[in-house]
Amino acid sequence: MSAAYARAEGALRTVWTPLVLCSFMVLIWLVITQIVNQVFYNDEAEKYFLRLLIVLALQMFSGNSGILSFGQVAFVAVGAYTSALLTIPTAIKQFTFLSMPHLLKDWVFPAQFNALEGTIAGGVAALVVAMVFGIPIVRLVGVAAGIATLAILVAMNVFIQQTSSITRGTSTMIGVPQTTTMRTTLLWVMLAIVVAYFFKQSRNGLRLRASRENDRAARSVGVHVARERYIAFALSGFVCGLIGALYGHYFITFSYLDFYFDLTFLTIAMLVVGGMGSVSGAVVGTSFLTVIYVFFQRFEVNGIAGATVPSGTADVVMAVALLIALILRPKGLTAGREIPWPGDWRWLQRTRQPQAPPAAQAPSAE
Amino acid sequence: MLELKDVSVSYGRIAAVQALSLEVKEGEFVGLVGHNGAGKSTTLMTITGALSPVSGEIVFDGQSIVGMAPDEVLRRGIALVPEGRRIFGRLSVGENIKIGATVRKDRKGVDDDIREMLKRFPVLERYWNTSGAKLSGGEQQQLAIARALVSKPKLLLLDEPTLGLAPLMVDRVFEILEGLHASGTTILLVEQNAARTIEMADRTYVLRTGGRIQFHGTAAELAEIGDFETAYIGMGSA
Amino acid sequence: MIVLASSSTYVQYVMDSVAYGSLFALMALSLSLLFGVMGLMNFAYGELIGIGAYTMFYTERYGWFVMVLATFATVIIGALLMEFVAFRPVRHASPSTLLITSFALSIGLQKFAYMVFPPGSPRTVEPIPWLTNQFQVKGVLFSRLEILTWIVTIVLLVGMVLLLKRTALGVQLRASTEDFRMAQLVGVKANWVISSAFAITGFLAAAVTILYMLNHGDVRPNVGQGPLLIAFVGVVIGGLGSLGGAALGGFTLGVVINILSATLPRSIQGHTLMFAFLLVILMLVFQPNGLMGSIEKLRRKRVAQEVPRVAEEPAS
Repeated sequence: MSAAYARAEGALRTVWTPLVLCSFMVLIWLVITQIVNQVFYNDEAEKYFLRLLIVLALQMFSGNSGILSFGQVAFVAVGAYTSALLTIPTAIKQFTFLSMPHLLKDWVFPAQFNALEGTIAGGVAALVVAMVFGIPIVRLVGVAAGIATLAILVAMNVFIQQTSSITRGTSTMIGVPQTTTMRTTLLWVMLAIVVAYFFKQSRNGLRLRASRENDRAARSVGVHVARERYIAFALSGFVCGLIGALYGHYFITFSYLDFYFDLTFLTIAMLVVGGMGSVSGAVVGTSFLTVIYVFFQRFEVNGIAGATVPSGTADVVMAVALLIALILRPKGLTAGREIPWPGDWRWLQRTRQPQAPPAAQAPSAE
Repeated sequence: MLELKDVSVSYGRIAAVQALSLEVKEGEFVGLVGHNGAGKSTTLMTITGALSPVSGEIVFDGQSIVGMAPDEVLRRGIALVPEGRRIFGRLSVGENIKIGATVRKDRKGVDDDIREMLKRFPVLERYWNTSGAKLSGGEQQQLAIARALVSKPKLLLLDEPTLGLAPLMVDRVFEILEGLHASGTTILLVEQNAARTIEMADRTYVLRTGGRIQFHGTAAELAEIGDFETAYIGMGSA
Repeated sequence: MIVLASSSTYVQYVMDSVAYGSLFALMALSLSLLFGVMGLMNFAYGELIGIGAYTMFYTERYGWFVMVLATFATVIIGALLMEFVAFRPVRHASPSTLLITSFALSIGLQKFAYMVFPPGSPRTVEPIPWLTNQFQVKGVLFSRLEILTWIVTIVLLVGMVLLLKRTALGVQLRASTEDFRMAQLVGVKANWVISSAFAITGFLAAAVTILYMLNHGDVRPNVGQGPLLIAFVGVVIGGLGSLGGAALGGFTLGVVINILSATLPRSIQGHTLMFAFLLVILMLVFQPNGLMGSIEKLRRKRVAQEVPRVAEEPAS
């Protein structure tokens, strides 16, 4: 092999996984919008992309640190509400937020951000919240971290419910401009895949993964575990905020219940089933479960060969799928591995020298 | 009574014990010594069923016990006094001893045995209602031994019982072991204190890192290995 | 929030709070039992309450005796089934896998309830007037239900203490919560201990459900979620490894919440739960010994428990 070829292959290998995954995303987008082009499927695809974004954000933190967070959806909520507040037309805000305290009213009401600004604002707001909560969270592991992140989720939910002066409490948001299109979502998804992948391969990501495998060993070689986790947590929070904004600008009406256990469960299920340790796992898990979910939802509504299943079956199937995955294959479908370079696929193995396995991920620890 | 044949145990890819074979005959006091990390504790844990060997056979009283759950192994008659004693701190001394008898069905027999035991370990009688955590290291060691004994085992395994104990207590423990041996209990003792173990045991296996047997024999046989001490110390640097 | 009585007397608050707190003490205790024995923080505990609530709804027409009996039966069986179907296969997994498993089970059961009992018609457990009617004693309002709650709670707590201290099972449970592996090494059977823990949990859950539902009434698929979250907090505050601590934590939290919701100004009253959960985070990080100590010990225990085949860290 000539040196140039080797260099080219090396470069291609580095971007192989995100390349494949992004192509897959574009492919889905093309098929759904150009070939199928039905409202129902467009809708489902959009939801698929949005959920995938959350799963990717989750992977950034939990996949690399090995610490499962139940609280990321809280940051999604922050993003959604923040962006909504800043982008809803002033006229509408004036009568839907009558009880907003004056301090806030003065600059929230006139605020008329455009979509992008709103999204970034959502991300930043979520980042700030994540940075605050991150301080205690990163010192915890295992069950304690799980419970603490759950506490974030619940606390946020109660906050949204109770602080109706700025969130409209249990009522839905009104007047959020619908600015999210499939195209923009697709772009964000691809961006997220790239970020997630390269974060994982970055020095931070590497150190974090080292701590995931063996906390003490990592510390002994100078990895400042809490700090690495904090960076990942903040990054994940920021991305969640962005997603929240996108979400809000797609669904336009949302309320506190949209960012609670259901969404948390769904996204965690998708990540765990796919495999927490890899970005490919996030994509695989989300895709796999979405197919099953949509299938059963159609089954509920339209039926197959005249038979329908009771409403809610799809959700139950998801729970069962997650349970089965936890029992049979806790490391997920991908077992934490990324998409292999074609030359490394076993059945394509020829007589040339065996390649070093590409970033063979150690199985994601809990 | 107990026989290990080519037993190998691994932690992931690390082979802790490789093709280990040893034997304990009824009534014997057998020692197992070696440096830290040589695989002594691993061997005991594997015998009791807390760990599963990758390969090899473990036969006790003519029956293979590989793959049995720990409580099943105990029912067969192998009791372990674990490293670090691991008494139940939140339970009282009495409860610790009584829980040791979980596998026994004869209430009366158990009560009688406990009474005998308290004669051997008077300090335990004194602290009968005290919670285990409040005992000193030496007292806890006695409790751990009593707890194992009350299950009326055919074979008693001890994992470094003198670890962390004051010299006086170390003597006491060895005294107890000697007494047990004299009354017919079969013992397999894992110890760091090689010299004393070799002296007291009928036979001793000396393990090197990786769980392979370096030397094996009675005190007299081992003494004959010329530079035994140098060899023994030299072993650790493998 | 339960409003057991409205009165401005100090005593009233105390009485109401005690009744409320004792319920959560019971819940926290059984949550803690499972955590100690299995490393399991059981989300699906809320669904035991759900099972009980639906049972109550469908059997109350047959009289209170049948209702109570049926509720105990279904909840205990439910708990045992949970153990057998969902938790036994993952028994040796890490505590956080167990957490997700219980989460999945919880959501799954809730969704199942949505499926089987469509939300269309509201379901309520009718309050029993004899129990809920209030009467006055020296200016303080009581209801027989409150009194029943105290009595039942005290009886059950005492019963639990006796069970744990005086019976062989109790000693085995306590040994298992302290050092599961070692308990096995002295012959305690894992299946027996864990199944017993679940059965006891079921029993306590049934009692809690009956008392709670007679007060609350509204039967929804996620009826157990609220009480569960509070019990969760109680356990965390009291100490994850300690049974007594959990009961105390649950009790304290129930009392505090009840007092706060009665005394705080309207504007932040609703935020009580939020503060409680923020407190959970702080406790998890800062509470020395009790809490962290138990978690540490449990983590070391879980590492040492890593199953027969292959361990992550050598034992010595």
